[in-house]
Amino acid sequence: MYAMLCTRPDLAYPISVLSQHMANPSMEHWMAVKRIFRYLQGTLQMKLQFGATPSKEVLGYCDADWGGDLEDKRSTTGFVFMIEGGAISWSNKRQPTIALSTTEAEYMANTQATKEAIWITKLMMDLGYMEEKKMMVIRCNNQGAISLTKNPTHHAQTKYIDVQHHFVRQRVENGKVRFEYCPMEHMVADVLTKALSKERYHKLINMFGLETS
Amino acid sequence: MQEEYDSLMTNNTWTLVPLPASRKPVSCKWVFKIKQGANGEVEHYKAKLVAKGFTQTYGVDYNETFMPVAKFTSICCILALAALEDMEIHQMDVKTTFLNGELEEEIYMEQPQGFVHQGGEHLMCKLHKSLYGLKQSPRAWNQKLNAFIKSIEFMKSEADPNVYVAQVGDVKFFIVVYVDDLILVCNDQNKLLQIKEELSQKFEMKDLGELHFFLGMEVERNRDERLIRINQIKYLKEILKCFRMEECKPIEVPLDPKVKLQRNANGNDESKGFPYQ
Repeated sequence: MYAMLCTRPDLAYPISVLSQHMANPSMEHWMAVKRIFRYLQGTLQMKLQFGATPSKEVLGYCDADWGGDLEDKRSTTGFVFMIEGGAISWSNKRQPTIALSTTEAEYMANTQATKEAIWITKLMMDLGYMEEKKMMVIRCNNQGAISLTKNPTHHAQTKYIDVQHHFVRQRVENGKVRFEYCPMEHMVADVLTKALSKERYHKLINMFGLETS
Repeated sequence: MQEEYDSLMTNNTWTLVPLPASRKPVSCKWVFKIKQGANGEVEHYKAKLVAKGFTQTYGVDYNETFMPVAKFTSICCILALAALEDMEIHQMDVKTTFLNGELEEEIYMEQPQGFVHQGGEHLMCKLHKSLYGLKQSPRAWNQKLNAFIKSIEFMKSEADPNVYVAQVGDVKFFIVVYVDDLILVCNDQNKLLQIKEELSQKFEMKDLGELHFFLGMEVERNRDERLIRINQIKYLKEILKCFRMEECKPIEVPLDPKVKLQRNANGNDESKGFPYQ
């Protein structure tokens, strides 16, 4: 499963889904594992490429799958950070609390992505490639979640959201990160939160910087 | 065995002292290995002295054991920047890593079997340098390397403590440390040679030249197009082989969007008969 960590962000979601059933797998799960092996066989030559787009800016993508877990209805967070057209950091994780709406799920995902963004900003600063004042842009496909990061207002709909998730709001205020709307079809992080159809899947993993040559 | 013992002695690994009343010694043992050549023939026999780390007591024989390793994200980041700026990427590794570390704690070890000092059977080895098997060996090594890299005017990154940066004028230099592997990235050939020289003088190092293989991943480079590609083809092939799937029919998408995986409902253990990890 080391492959998931290093050069193959495309495997992160399938592996995390199957890992959830590690304790008590059924025949169905084993068939799914075999399917991943067949996929690996078909994509052995796939490489993660850096340098295709000559820009030193780091760009984040962030997505959530609301209520994706069939058993406990928890949502999944997925985010990826890219540099020069290649993914440098990605993660997908089931959210600890249940979200009541897609907006809320995305908002929680934004928090997770912000934590990573802050770390990457720090690293880039240490390496001498980023200035203190510079903001990192994270793309997100939910307008509601974006406005929640900007407006420190209390609504009946959102007031129960856990305090930890308002972390992102503060960081937006400080100018550390900025969220930008990104239409669904360019949402790379989708690969990290759900199973997709063939066409869409291939388009998105190409955007990760995964190349078959 | 004699060879190993002699090298430990020349390295000044320990001195013989009487054991203080309040302390319990750590035991040790010899580990023997047969080194095989590429064709499986026996090249030489090797003996190594290891301390039994599990006989150490926390707070007495050791305090901190944590050793940080570089994050994969930092490695990717640096590779990407190096690709774009066409920097040199070289790799070095350290021989006898853990023997290089100096110990902060006082540790007493029993004398190694077969090499007990005659007339001094009651004496214990007071360790100065770390040995394989001691709980704090990795940390001791990391601290020593850290101190040295800092002494040659590198700054440690705050974000990732295993990334070191030096920047003088236009010359940029990054070092990434992963236990005993070092990646050196620099946009100046001469500076690179100079740092390599300094490292080799301080530690016993092997210069592996340009980076091709690191932590199980292959690094390919196209300097004209300023591209770097990393892959784990070798590793993936091994996995497929291990599950006897190396000749399966390929497929294009890893998960079927129509299939929703659910908890194993009937409760009985069906996992026998297939190697689900």
